[in-house]
Amino acid sequence: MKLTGESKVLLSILAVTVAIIGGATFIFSKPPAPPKPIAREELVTADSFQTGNASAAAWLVEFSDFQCPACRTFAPVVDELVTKYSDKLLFVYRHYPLSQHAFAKPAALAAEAAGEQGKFWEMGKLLFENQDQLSTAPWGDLADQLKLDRKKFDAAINSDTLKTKVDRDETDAIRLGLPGTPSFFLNGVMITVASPADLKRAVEEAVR
Amino acid sequence: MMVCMRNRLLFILSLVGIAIAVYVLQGFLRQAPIVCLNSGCEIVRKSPYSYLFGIPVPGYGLMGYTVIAILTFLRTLSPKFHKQCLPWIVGIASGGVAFVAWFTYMELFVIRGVCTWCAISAVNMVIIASIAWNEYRNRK
Repeated sequence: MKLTGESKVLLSILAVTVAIIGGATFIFSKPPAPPKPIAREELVTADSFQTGNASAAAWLVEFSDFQCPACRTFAPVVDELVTKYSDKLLFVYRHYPLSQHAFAKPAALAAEAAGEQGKFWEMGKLLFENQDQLSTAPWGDLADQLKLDRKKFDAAINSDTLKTKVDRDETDAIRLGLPGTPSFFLNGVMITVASPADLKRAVEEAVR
Repeated sequence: MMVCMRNRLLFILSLVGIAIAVYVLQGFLRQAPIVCLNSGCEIVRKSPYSYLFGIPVPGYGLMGYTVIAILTFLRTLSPKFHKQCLPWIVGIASGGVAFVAWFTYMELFVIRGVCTWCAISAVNMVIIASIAWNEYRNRK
């Protein structure tokens, strides 16, 4: 079949597009320098909730948001890793309540308030399980489910101390330039994980 | 002449769509970070809805845009093809609009994060469908 003048125009447009994209790919495809690990003391803040072995060589920090569906997807794998490698891994939870999630910050405060009574992880699990109901502000009901002292819980959830702590985590996440939630730092290096299986693989390699 | 320009525009917009889809798809396949105006691209990528039947969502975009680009090129080969390919372009672009509408809904109300590239691609598909529909309605 013979090409018409218009066919040639389109082929020229295609050739120019391919040349531009090819050139841009070549220019921007320089291998990036290996990321520099961030110091442990910068990521593992003393007042953040931690589990596992505090002196383990492998340490994992998660910046998470209780209203984020992806964080909920990753949560069972994080639990599994924390249980399986309790002696070889330190896990630290830090808050990054995203601005588009209206109930993420109150949820973070609820978890922190439960943490004051030693039930941070239990509240975290409940918050993920009830993620679809966060708009109803179920903090009190969840606290009752965990048999928390409601008076203390209500006072803690409204306290400036916990608000400052959550805000500090959020500021750190923004300063670190995190692309979203969940974001994971393994031994101080931010890892790119597209699925829970990727996280499992990376952690298992680090604890070996 | 106007019809010819419209077909050129359809071709260019489908190339734009292919470029976006290839960029986002390579981010999925190589698990490389996707440059985004907000944090939405990573939120969307990490959500379970970013894979449909095991295929990354940008893969569907790549297929759709590629077929539209091929059809718009075929239209330039003969007046017969010019006529015959138009309903196919309209059909595929309309399917594309339905797909981006569903995905944008998922982004806004389920995933709660908007990926900049998906939004640009959605607008691009709507423009392609509008041009194709317009030409189909005014065909002789």
